Order: sequence, then structure tokens, then C-alpha cells
Amino acid sequence: MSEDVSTVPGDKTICLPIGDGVEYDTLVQDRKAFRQYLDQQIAQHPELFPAEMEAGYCFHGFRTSAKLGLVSRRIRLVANGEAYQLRPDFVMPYMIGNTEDVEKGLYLRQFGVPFDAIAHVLGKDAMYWYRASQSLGRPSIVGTTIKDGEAIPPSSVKR
Amino acid sequence: MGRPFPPHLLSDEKHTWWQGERVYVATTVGEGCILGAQLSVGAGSEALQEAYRVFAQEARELDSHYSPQTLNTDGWEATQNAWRGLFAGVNLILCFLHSVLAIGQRCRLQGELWQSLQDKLWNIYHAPDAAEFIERLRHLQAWAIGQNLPESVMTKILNLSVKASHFTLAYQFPEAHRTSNMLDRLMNYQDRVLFAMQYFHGYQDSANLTLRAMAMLWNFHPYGRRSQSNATDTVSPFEELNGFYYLSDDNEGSG
Repeated sequence: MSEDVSTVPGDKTICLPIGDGVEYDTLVQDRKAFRQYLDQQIAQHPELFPAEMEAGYCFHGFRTSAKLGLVSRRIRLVANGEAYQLRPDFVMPYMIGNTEDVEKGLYLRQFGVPFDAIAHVLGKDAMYWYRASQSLGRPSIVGTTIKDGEAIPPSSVKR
Repeated sequence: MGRPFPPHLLSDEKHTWWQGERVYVATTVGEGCILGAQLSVGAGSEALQEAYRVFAQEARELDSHYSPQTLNTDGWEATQNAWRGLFAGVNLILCFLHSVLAIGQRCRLQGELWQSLQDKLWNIYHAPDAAEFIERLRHLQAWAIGQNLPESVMTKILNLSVKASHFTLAYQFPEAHRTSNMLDRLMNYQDRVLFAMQYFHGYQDSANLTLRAMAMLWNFHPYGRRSQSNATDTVSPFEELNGFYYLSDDNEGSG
């Protein structure tokens, strides 16, 4: 494996914090308000965004989840032309479900509870919980775990 | 906001099974978090280096000049070679606990001897500086020669001199890990989950995703209520490492 090949398949998604009281569905359609909100989040949690964001970004279309019907915005960075999807933090990676609904099943996985058992208690099927669990392994472990706004360039934090 | 990248790491291989074959999970730990977990089908230097490279690569995505100051390992040479290959300047510290346990295994049936040896070994460990460490080690060896100890125990005690420089290196880095306890606690977690899932039977890629997901679940798992109310006011290993968290039950982060 060469060193310049990323091990992080899901690194083109930025998990965007959505605060209490924010109407996401309205916000995502309002270009101006969305930019304002995004800029505010970048200032508040710079470690969640690529450092190249500082050079500016432009909106780059939408993605709609077939499963959840949820719309998310994409952005393109001026610095390197890379496009990222802005996934709201209340949905799981690949928009497989709402974070709140999946959280309990993943909590049980910490104790090695079988997927069948989680499905029996929380619904869905075993494969759903298997895929939800596997998706946690896609982001960079180091990048997701270590958040040092000063010592580490936030640019490289890939989610 | 956060704290610097952990300068003192630990690593070891968790032995497990993939399609009935023994394989090794190259695990890297720092500040109570699992920072690397990658399956390696071999336990040689080359195979382990490939497995540990994933951690190195992810760390360098954060800081291109990153190199840990120290790394605590057991005595497995391939692990040490793998890390030397990835981080040229890393100081490799040998786990003292492994040496104590190795001696303990060899005098399992001699309770009194083991008790006496254990006290002496930990007395060496608690030496205030490197010179005193060597001095206490010499005393132990002199004592052992007069005790008519079993040959296997004697060999292990005499071998401590060979490893002494790897133990005393820790005195140059007071914050470094001298034993692998932190790693062992986290490997215990890996062990329980791997046993519960009856190890790996699918593709190697999915095994790796499972291992990485386990690491994430550990790093972000909420401590039990008793742990939270005991010594610390932190809620998870992530917060312990970073000094903040994003959200709690009442949706208010700290830090």
C-alpha cells in the first residue's frame, strides 16, 4: 500500500453539526442562510472542515437520499476543486438512517451483541445493523478521534 | 481547544482467527483510545509494517511530520522493526510487565519464590533513575545466582541485562508508557467482542472494517455511570483525549 493512497473511502463527506432549533429542511433550500450557517459552523468547529475551506467554497448542487428523502448540499473548494457532501449530523453516513435511531443498536455492538439480537430488539434486520456497524469503520480512526485545533491542521481531518 | 497528538503510544498484535487461520490485529493505542487496528495475515516485519502503515498514514494526514516520541511494545522483534521502518526516530521502550510475567510463568508452581521475585522485580521497576535501575538489577542477579533457581527462571533474569537499555530509555521520557497496561485493557475489549462474534469468516476488507468500527465504538463509548461519578468528570475516551465533547444527553458540549 503506497503512502499517498488514502485509506479513507468515505472522506468526501463533511458531517455538518445541526444545532437545536435549526430547521434543516428550510435551511438547506435557502442558499444565503445556508452559507451563513456554514460559515458560523466553520468558525466554531474548524477541525471538522478541510483547511482549504479558508480559501473559499462554492455550492455544487444537491444530493437527495432515496431512503430518507433528505436533501443535502455539496460544496466545491476553491483551493483545490475538491467536492464534498455536507451531511447533517442527525443522519448516519450514506444516509442509512437517523443517528438517533441507529445509536442504540451501535451502543449494543460495543458489547458484541449479535446483529440478529439487535434486530430482534430494535427492529430492522440483521444486515441493516451489520451495514450500520461496518460504516463506522470507513472514516479515518485517527482523524475522527483526534481533534486538535492547534497542533493538527484541521484540513486533513477527513470524515 | 484540543490537546497535542499523543506523543507516547503503545502497540501490539491481537491474535485472532480469520477463516480458521491465525491472524494478527496490529493495534495502536494512545491516551486510552484505539488509534489503529488493521488485520495482518503474517507476524513478520514486512506484514506488520503494512498493517501499522495504515495508522502512520492516517496520522500523517493530520500532521505530515508526525512521529511518536516513544512506543511501548512487547519483545516481539518484528513489531519493533515494523515501527522503526515507519517512524525512523521513534524510541522503542520495552514493556517491563511482559518480562515480569515471563518470569512468573516459569515459576508458577513455586509460590514463595514467585512472591519474592515479584517484589524484587517491581522494586527494580520503581527505581528513581536509570543508574539505580541498573544497580537494583545487578543486586537481583547477584541474589538469584545464590538461590539455585530453575534454569529457565535464571536465564530470564540474566536476560534482563540484555534488555536493560530498552527499559531505562523510559527515564528520558517521564510521560512514556513503561508497561503495556493501557493497551492490554483495550485489547481485552477487542478480545471479548471478537470472541462474541466467533472471529472472522468473511472478506479481509470487511474484517478490517469491523476492527475499525470496534475502535470507533470504543473511542466514543460513554463511560458507565459509576466510572463517570468516580475519579473523572469525562464522559468518554474521546473527551479524555481531546478535552471536550460535541454533544451530551442534554445537547450541550464542553470545552
